[in-house]
Amino acid sequence: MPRPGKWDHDRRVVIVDGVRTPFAKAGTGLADVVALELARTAIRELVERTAVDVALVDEVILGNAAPPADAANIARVAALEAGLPESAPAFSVARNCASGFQSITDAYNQIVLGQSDVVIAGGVESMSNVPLHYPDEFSDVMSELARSKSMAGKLTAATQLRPAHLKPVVALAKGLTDPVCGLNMGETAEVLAREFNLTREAQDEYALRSHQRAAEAWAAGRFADEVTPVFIPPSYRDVVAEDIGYRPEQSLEALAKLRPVFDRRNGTVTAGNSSMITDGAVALLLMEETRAAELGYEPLARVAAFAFAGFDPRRMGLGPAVAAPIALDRAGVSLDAIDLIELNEAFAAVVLANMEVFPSRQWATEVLNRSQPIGEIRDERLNVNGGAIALGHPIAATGSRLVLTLTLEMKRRHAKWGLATLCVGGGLGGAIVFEA
Amino acid sequence: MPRAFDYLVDAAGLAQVMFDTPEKRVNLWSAETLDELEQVLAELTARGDLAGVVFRSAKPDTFIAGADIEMLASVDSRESAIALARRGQEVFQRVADVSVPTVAAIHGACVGGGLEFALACSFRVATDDRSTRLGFPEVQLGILPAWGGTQRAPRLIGLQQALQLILTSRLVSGSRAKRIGLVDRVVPESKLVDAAEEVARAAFGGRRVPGGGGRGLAGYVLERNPVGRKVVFNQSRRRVRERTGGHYPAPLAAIDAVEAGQVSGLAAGLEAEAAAAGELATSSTARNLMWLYQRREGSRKPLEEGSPRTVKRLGILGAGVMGGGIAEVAAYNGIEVRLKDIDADQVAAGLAHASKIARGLERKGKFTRREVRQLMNRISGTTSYRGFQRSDVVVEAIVEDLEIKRRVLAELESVVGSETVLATNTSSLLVDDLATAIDQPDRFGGLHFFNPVEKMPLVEIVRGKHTSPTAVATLHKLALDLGKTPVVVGDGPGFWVNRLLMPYLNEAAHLYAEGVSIEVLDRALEKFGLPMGPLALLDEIGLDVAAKVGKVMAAAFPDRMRPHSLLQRLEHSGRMGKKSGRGFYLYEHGRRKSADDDLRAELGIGPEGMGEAAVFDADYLVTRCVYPMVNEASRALTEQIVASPGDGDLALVMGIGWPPFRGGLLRWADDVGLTPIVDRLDEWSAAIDSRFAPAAELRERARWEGGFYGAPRVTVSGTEESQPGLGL
Repeated sequence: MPRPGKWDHDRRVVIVDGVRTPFAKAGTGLADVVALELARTAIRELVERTAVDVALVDEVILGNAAPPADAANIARVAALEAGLPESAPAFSVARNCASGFQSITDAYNQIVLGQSDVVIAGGVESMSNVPLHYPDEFSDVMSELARSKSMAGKLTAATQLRPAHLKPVVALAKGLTDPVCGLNMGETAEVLAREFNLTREAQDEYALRSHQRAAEAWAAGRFADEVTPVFIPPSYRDVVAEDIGYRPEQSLEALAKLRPVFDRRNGTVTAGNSSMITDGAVALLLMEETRAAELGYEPLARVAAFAFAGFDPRRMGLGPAVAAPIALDRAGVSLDAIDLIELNEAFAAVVLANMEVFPSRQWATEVLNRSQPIGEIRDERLNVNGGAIALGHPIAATGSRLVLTLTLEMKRRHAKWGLATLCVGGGLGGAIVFEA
Repeated sequence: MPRAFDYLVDAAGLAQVMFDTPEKRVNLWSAETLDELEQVLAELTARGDLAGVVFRSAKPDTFIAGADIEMLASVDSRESAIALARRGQEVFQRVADVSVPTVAAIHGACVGGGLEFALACSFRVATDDRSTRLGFPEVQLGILPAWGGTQRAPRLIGLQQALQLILTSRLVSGSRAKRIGLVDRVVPESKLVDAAEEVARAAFGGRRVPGGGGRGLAGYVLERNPVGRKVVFNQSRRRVRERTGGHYPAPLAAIDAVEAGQVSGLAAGLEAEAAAAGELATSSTARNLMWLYQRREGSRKPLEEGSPRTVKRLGILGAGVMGGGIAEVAAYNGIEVRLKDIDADQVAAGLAHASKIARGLERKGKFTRREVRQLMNRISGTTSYRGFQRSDVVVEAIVEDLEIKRRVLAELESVVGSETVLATNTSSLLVDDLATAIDQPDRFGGLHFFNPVEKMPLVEIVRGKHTSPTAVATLHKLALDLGKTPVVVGDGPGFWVNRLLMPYLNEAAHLYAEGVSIEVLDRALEKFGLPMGPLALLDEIGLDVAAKVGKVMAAAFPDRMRPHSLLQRLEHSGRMGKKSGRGFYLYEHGRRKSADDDLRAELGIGPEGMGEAAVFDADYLVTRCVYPMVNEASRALTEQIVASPGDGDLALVMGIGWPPFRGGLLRWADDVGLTPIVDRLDEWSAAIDSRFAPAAELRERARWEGGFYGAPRVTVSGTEESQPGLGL
């Protein structure tokens, strides 16, 4: 169990600025751009717009849940290709859907401990480019073939091959299935929908709200500053300058027509009220607070506290409801005081279920062992610029995107407190609290 | 005691000779260094215990850069040229005559006389480093390898390979040199000395040293018999004539020298080589080419005034063909680029242009895919001004519109650091007219690239009224860092090159309208030595662009630069030249197909041959186009648009491809004589139009007899030391 109690560190950490690539539905505009290039684009643009002296960068940390075969440490490769000096170390982190939080919290720890002053943190995922795997049986046969010394042994091994062994498995499908509980992520959403009696209509309405808010944010120019275009190599003739996937014309009727994906007969979770499989990258510049001031920056927000917490893998969607209260305690602030909340829209059911349990006294006493409920998630403070249902959920980039969108909105509204939180496949929750 | 050589002999009798030319960046052969080499050889061979000699260079990234050009350029007679050739042959023969194995340990440039020396050694070991380049650049200077190069190269690597090296001046890498047999081993730099010593020891011990190369079957068939060799020589001569248009005698002389050696033996070959050197070195072609080479080297020196800042980050506004091209050239040279345009699609177009150029390098095998990616990674595209505060220099290459440029420059100044130098790539506006939009006009100047940026070597650095020496020096150094030849010019319509180019192109339009056919006119100027004729050049520049520049020039100089009306008519008819597929010529997929025979009817001008001009010869066509340039140059010189005739000539060779063997426009005019030029202009002025009227300063210069270059120092604008104005 993570230890609660208010944090009080001598060194404080600020988000100076950040930028992301457009988030594009997998198989569309960014399908031919590898994760490395997405990450490189985000980091290079971050350096350009913050004008940070790259010699000052003490570490580069990137979340990446499905590492490409040719970049065992994608953070290092992306940093060098983005023009950072060879002397700046880099590492890549994975905590599934919270990988884009993990990079930020690792940066926080380094800075608080005095190991670093200036860190670039973020996340990247190219779900269009997730590798194909052969079934385990095929690997078994191939390794036996390799081990056999005699021709007879090789022949015996070879005869075990079956056509079905050659049918590739998309690593993505594997990655989105929890081997502990055996449920696919969508199936865990169905578990929540049943437990909290979340109707198909309620989920679709929430999905519609996500599209509308994302479309409004783009129309109002709120994303223009957050997003940098990706020019598509090797010809560079094409460019993706906006998110691909949100639908300004989305309607309840259209959403109602979709068939449930994970429980075809009785289910309520559809492709329309789930987050999209998406490509994208985010980069943030974090600094020790006084260093940022010395360098003349006006940061977006200060990291007040964070928490990761574990919970039932079958109900992983409730992760925010276990992690957020700890993070709020550590920051010394109540949910009521939080002006803006980004709660990842992995599924509409996840958001709605959390809205049920956050104010629940029963949840507080039985699960959290507390006398008081966490508090109510007020609709007007939640995901005000839409979320992953409209913008997509490139696994390891999402956490960083929540932080970027949240802190930019805090600055815009002169908000005092913000909370970014998400559920994590495997039964985890993550939460970070920000203070202006 | 030799100053350029130092040597050490080890216990086994193996000598290491270190070449380190005093007070020079690179090792060069001069009268002194040749003498000293001879002395070193005498000392070494006098020892009883000598087992081998390894020759090394103490200079970073150069083995031997050839003969000292000062020495070559100072040759003033046929006899002294022959004597110089003989002297080199003699010293290198002494190298070849050393009785123990000699090894050239080659790292860096090994060219011209440097390679001839290496060829005289028994063995050659080269590094695989990028800086290692071997070859014969002599014919580019109008001479030939005359220290045994035309003899030893074919004997070592075969006729065809040797002719290719000598005739194309192409430099080869260490590994390529190994493949063609020019070197015996290729090794990493750290192993160079060990490997060279190993080769020397092995050869001294009587062991065989495996060499490189081979002639292949075709080579064997062609080269091992007199008939085959004759075929090779004839083919080479034909190819040379096609390529040079007969303007360059050196490659043909080199072929003759090679052939003499193949047919009549080494001694005869060396004699032919020396005789050819005698003819070539004193020819006007060689003098002009060497003069240009020295001019170009001179332009690489830092300016006397102002301390340049090194540009690590370049901002570019406008992602068109110019912006994209500048971005590619900068990224190629390791500079970080921020490229802005108003929307993402236009930025993409600029990046696409840059990547097309870079991938062209990949296709030619000069670049790997990874290098292309790394080059492109140095260019970051944007639609905002964010990131420009980091730029050391920002150059605008946006639309040629005074008001838009002024607005953008003012915007730009508000976002960049106070030290950032700002520049314009304008070709038709004045730097001073743009400078008034800027609060600190001293940080602003012109950086005028020519299209296509990646190919054209000239950059005009425009010094405006307020431009500070630091800004000029910074832009000058930037151009050098981009691998360009910078020439500092004064502010004025068309600066230097376009100001002279406009009357030339306009005159071509007049001649066309007078009935000269497109091909006849263009061919006349091509034969004169220009890379393309004026009408083809107009198509290449774009008739819309030419019309725009033409208007500006006409406004500035209405008495003599009013564009012929057909240029405007062409612009309005949608013929924009090569880019639109139709101009004076027709194009298919960007390749010139044929002259457009329908153009005359379309423009409503008379048929070919009707005008008076049609009866005149090529000489008339050339002089009609070129004399107006000379006339305009005399005015621009007085206005100090260029600091000296030398700067002006260098700019024209690098900017429009003025035939290098003619030295430059002004050198050529001096050769022709200014008096006949003035007389001819007077004649045309009376007979055709007053636009030909010779400028007062041209008459003055004609009277001095010294022409442009020989004019009295005190009164002529811009002798080599940039003297004050002419004062007419």
